[in-house]
Amino acid sequence: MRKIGLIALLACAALLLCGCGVSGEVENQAYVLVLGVDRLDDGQLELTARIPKIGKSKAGESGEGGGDYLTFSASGGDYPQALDALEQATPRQMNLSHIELLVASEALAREADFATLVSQIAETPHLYTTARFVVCEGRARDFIEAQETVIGTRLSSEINAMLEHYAQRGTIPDARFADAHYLLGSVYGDPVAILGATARPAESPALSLIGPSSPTEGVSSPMGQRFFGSALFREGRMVGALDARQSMLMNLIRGDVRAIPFECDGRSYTLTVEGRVKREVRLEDGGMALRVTVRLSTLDDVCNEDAARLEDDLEIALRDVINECQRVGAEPFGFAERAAGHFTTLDAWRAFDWRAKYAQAQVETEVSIRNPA
Amino acid sequence: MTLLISHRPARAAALAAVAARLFQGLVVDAPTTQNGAWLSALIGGMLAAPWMFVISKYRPRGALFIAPLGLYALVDSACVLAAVTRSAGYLALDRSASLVLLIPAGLAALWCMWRNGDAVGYAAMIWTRIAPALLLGVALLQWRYFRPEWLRPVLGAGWPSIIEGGVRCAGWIVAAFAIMALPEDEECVSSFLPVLLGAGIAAGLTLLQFMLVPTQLGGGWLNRLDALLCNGRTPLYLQLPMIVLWFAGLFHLLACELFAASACLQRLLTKLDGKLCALLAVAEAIALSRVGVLSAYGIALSRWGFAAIGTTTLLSMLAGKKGGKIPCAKSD
Repeated sequence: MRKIGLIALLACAALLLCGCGVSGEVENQAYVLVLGVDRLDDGQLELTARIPKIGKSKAGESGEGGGDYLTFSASGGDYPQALDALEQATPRQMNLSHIELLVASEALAREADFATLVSQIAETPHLYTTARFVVCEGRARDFIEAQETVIGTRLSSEINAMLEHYAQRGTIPDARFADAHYLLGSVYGDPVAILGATARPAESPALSLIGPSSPTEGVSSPMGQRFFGSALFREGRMVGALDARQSMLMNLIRGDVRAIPFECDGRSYTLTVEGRVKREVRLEDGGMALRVTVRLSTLDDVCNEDAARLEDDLEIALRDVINECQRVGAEPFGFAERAAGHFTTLDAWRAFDWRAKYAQAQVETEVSIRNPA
Repeated sequence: MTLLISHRPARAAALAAVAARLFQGLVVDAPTTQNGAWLSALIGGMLAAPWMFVISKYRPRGALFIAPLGLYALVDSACVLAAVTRSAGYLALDRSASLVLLIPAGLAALWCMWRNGDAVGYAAMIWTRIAPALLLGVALLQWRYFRPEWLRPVLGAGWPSIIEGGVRCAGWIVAAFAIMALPEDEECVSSFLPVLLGAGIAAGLTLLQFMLVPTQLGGGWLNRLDALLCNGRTPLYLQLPMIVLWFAGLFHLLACELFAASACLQRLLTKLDGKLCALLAVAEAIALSRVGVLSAYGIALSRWGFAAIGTTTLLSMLAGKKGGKIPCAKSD
């Protein structure tokens, strides 16, 4: 009897799990889905938040669901001030634990002390750092305001499904804000971010970043945004960009993509990765060599000569992508982590002067393609 | 009420406590050894193992042994209580006064101690069976995010730092294993295996954490806690098991060290009631945890904890006073 009483008492204690303080009603929260950061002309930092309305909007009030979301902006001298101003501008308790996307304008990402801002954002209490990280052309606020639900009914799932789709295709990196934060402060390689832009006519500079063979060129879409490549970082700031095709190859080297489309002599092949992509770093007399070995298969009809040409073309394309990153000094491939394995202590690794040697490193690529049929 | 604990629950409590204490110290409090933290945990285990062997085989009981050990466990429990408070502050959006966050943990530990030592120990024993299942679930769901490359350079900040970390770990082990000096039942094991096992578990947990978050050159305590609890990749539905693992681990550690401190106090002042001793220990830990000097303790004092307790243990053995030691009746 005493045990039953104890069990009943403990079961009643579950009622206290909601807390004994002031309850946080869902309707009293402003759940931020997208947070943007801009540098204004007067030097102020502007924060923009995309927040869903609670409940459905009335018929006719919204176009394609756009009326279900509100955009709030506020600025301040630095990040804490801007955040404080944004909290004041938002008529509910701002909740950052459900953020899906963090957007920084390209101009801001290229500033010298961008890494400090990333750290400040990451250390914001309860900010969900798993959010994807986007660098956009132009203003982040315009980019965020252009965001609507197109296929789905909820913006959060729309963002997730869309970016997962592009990341699986390899045209963008699966870049998380936390990864950017960790790698900006770590001793290893550099982070990458998803590159985006507000949708504009096809002749816009944004779309011209997509390579001539990109499958997204000339596509008509009701989406207000475009995601088409990778932003490269070095020592805490953005230093360059890769287009969709280059991003695909970068993701192939990183082992983040399982299959890629590749064109050779006017024919398109689908190449599937077999096993793991091997990344090696060889330390030689004062220098360094980077080596990538990729084994691929294709179900497309390919004769031995075509396969050899395909292998050569892909080897060159992979080398070009690595050379482009070497040129701007960014290392998004994970070679640094492997090079660090040659050293026993962090001091020895730092003394090695990885960055200087990486820029001069020789690149070797080996691709083998087979048709299992 | 006399504060007592049997050997078996004491061993379970010590095991749960040492894994939590080393992990807290090496990953969140003072990650100075960087990638070499797991080696520090193992070195700490090897340093503390002979001490464990001595106290389990010869069971010293003199005031020269009990007083410093109890005091040391009390000070360390205050450090743990401070970590609980800061963690609660992190989760409570830092909108609650620190005293309000301290008191529930202190009261929970007090209630546990008032049920006496076996309650503390058997609760830890249940925890040691639940925690691996929770940990396995979390690890499996995050499997694709583990990056063994981030464990290199394998020695992290280098041997001097690893050895210094090892000495600190030995100090934390002594505080967490203070409870093993209390059992007076006949069953006693003259073994150092629990220490090595606890250190091994802590080393394994440290390796897992460093495979999720790369070696960081900066970042404060809360930043490291954030990296531990959600590590930037954990979906929201996974944060609850991580939070349960962290808080429950710290709570068992706190209860274990506070019970050791209370029981040592009662051994010294035999006329004091056990409940009063527990109340005094909790009150002192709360008061100590609010003293700013404790943040420096994690780095500085812990280096000397093992040497100090080891010396008093040896002196107590050498003194060989009447009642200074209780021989083991049997061992398993």
